[in-house]
Amino acid sequence: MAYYTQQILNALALGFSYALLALGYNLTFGVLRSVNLAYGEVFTVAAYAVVMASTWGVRMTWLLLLFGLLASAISGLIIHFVAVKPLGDVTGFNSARHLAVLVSTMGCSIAIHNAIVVFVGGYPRRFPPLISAGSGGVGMGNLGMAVTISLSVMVLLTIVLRKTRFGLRLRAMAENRELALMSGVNARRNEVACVILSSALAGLSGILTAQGLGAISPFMGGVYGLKALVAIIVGGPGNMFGAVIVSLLLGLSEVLAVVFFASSYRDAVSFGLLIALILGRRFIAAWRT
Amino acid sequence: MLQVKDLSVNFCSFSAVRNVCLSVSRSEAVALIGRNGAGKTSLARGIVGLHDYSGSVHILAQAGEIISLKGLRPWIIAQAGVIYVPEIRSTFEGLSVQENLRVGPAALGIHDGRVADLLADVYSTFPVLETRKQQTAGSLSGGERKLLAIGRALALGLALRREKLQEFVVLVVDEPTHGLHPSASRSLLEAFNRLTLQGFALLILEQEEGFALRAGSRVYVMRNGAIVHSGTSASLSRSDVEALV
Repeated sequence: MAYYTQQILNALALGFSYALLALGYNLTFGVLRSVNLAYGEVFTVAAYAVVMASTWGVRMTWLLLLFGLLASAISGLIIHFVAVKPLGDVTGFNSARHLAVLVSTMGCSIAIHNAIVVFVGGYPRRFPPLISAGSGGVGMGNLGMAVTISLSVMVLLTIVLRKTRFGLRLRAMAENRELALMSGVNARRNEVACVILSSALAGLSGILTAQGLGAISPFMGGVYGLKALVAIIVGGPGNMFGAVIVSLLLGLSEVLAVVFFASSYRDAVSFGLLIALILGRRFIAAWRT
Repeated sequence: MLQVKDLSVNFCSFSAVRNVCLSVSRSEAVALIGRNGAGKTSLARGIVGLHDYSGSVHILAQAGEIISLKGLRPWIIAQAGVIYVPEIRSTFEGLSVQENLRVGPAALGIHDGRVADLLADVYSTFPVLETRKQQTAGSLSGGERKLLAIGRALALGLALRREKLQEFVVLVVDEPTHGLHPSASRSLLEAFNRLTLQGFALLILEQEEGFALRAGSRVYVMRNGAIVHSGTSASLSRSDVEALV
């Protein structure tokens, strides 16, 4: 029984980590109308920042989290100002700009990989436990913490987006950027706030995932970022609820793959599921019409 | 007062707007009449900072202060009191009616308690919006969406005046009657009259001559990007305008 409880917690923790990343991705995609392929690197940078802070002697969990979130926000802003903003503002759909942003953020992603390899090392590093192993079994405390933090952050994010002036401004920009500008919304300030918020979500996701894995590597963010991107495509761009559901399915499929097959099948099963969901959506849409 | 001098908008070698001069004062409704493609929308988008242009656009405040809008970003121009209501995609379709109206005040950072008073004033001008306030804008009829678009601009204008951020507010309304039922056009006309009585200035871009002559106390007639006639609406008949456009 304890084994299955552990697996359910594993699936939830992984699913919620994807969900945090997908929610952040959804925010940037909605507000900035850009697919940022370096977004997964923000996830990695946060995890590395925690490891670095830990090696410098920081032990307090909240301080480590703060350090990681700060690093993710700064890296997100650097990516935004180096690889996205110089390519111009979005007014309507501009395919040339979209492609340019894809290429420039891909370049940024590779640069961040290499910077980590050069300055920290290309080998996997041990991730420090943020809380000691729980009493319910090995890692149960950490998994429970991951699920609790992720759920709390999602509820908080929903309240911010639905009930605050800042949330209304972001939703207006995501709906119709030009009209938001003509309604007096300061695009620049709200874009920066959106980048900070979405980077912090990616950072938190990176820290919680690294906590679950117990180790980090410079290339971990790429696959996670790709899965989050596909999760928002399957869940429907701009649809927060859809992104969370697909992320949870993704977490569940990966844990089931490990339980019934082997951990090497993990990515094959999760990407297989995402392809099946995309095709399923198209099939249902075609059948309805 | 909004003052436009020698404004020209060019798209590569094509001149969409040529040396346009016009002005709109406080409590005044001015109609700009022209057929499709005459350059009305390009002119309006230039004024609100969405197109580059040559020439100048100024706001003359009552205290004698002159503010140039040239080179300012669209949100700064909106916060300066020049608020554009586009013809298409003029509402946030996924947001509720109430949220649409709250975007402008939220952009100014106005506290929710004070926004409720502003919305009450918008609802008194457009009562149908109050009955639909929980619906999403995308679920409204075309006519209701037009009213919501003007209500959204009005909410921002009221917020600017109540918070004493701007004294002069002009609403630039693009094709307000396009796709409207005649009865809806009549109530829109009444709403415009109420707005000018409240001290708002209106620049109404319209191709329906009858409505434009009733809505504006002064009219400008635009053809091929240039103003070909200006004067009071009382001095022009519908057939005069038809001959000019």
